[in-house]
Formats: sequence, structure tokens, C-alpha cells
Amino acid sequence: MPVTSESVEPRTLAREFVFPGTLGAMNAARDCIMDFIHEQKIAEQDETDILIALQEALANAVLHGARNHPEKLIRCSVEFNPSAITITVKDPGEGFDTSASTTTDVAINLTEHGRGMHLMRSLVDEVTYADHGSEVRLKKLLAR
Amino acid sequence: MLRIDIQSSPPVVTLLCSGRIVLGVEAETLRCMAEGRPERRVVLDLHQVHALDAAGLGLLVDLHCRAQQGDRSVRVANPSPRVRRLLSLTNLNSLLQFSDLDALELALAGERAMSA
Repeated sequence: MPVTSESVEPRTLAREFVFPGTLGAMNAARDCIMDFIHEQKIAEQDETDILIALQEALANAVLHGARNHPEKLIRCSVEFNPSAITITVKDPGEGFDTSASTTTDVAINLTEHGRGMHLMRSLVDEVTYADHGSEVRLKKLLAR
Repeated sequence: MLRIDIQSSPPVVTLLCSGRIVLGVEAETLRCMAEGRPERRVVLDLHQVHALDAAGLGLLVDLHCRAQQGDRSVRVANPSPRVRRLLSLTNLNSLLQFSDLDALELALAGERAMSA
């Protein structure tokens, strides 16, 4: 079970999740995060988009940042206000070349890999990186 | 969680998927199930799939390409609106040639009759 902390302000709700960098822990954490987002009663399409974008961000953090190592921790913060949800995922890795992820178009890809970043960019309104790519921030404007 | 129900009618098998096809146990379960079937034609009914991530999309492509190399086929049928949108966003709709299950069943029934 991820460790969480919460702060409440008049129109903003934030929660932080910390979990070991393994696939098993990631699945449990993802479900906890989505339970929190579901509680905010956003539009179903927005929730589905966030689920897939979050899944990609967490998978990248586990596979590339923590390398599926249980002693490496991944931090995910979720900030909700009536107009947007912002999710930040921070992994303990060294990051990657974020300039390689700026393509906005994807041709038919016959390989098994290479769709995660394109999906994130397609499903949320902003994808930004910090700390050489070891932190990714997803912002989804809400339809309401 | 992913649930897979099997409807076999050789040389066709339909795998009715419900839940999520995502990185980890779910995607690997579907891979083992699809690759382990003896039938030559595998239909993946994705009507009840509500989440599909990059790993799931990659799995569909890999199953399709491997099947083609081995004189088999893997086709997607009845994608839910969510799955259809993700296939479209990644330009995989034309590659995987998804169709309504009724139309696909008609085509496959014709194929069964030809091979009988």
C-alpha cells in the first residue's frame, strides 16, 4: 500500500503517493491514485485519458527509472482543482534525452515498443519534464 | 484485471477479453493465451476492454506480426469506443483491421466452409 499525505484548501486538493519501484507495487499504486481521482467525480472520458497517461508515466518510472527495484522509490503527486488535474511522477533514475520525445506525429509503428510518450501527449493537455527527464508532469484540463 | 473467455470453433478461436490489457500480468496472460492456441485464426474481441496502454497496443501489434509470419492470423473485433480511440491515436486501426464481430463471423464461417 502506498504511503499518502493530503492537504486540503478551499478549491484545491492534493495527495502524494510513494511506492517501491516494482511492477506489482505500481499496479497497486495506480489503482489507489485512480480511486482518488474517481472520488473527484470528473467526466468519464477525462478519467479514462488520465488512467492511460498515468499508466505510461508510472511504467516509464518503474522500468527505466527504478529498473523494477523494490528499494528504489517512486513519488507521485496529484493536484486537483475544478479546472484541471496535475500529476507529477518522480523516479530515482538519471533521466533520458527528453528532446527525443518531442515528436507529435507517429507513423504506423510495427514494433512492440515506442508508443508510451505519444499516448501521453495525445491524452493530456500538457506533458513537461524536469530533472533531465526523471520527473514528468501531466496536466489535464477538465471538461466538467 | 483481465478476464478471457474462449470460444473455439476450429480453425477459429475467439478470445473475449474483459477488463484491462496493460503492462504486466494482464498483457502476458493474453500473449500466452493467444500464442498457445492451436487454431490458425485468432479473434480478439475487445468489446469489454476498458483500458489499453502502450504495452497492450504493442502486444496486439506483436501478435499480429508473429501470426503473419507463421501462416496464422490475429484480428481485433468489436473494439470498445475507448479501445477504438487508442488504436486510432496510434495509427493502428488500419494495421489491425478491426471489424464488427458479426461481419467477421460471416467471413470466418465462409472460411470454415471452404476448409471443410
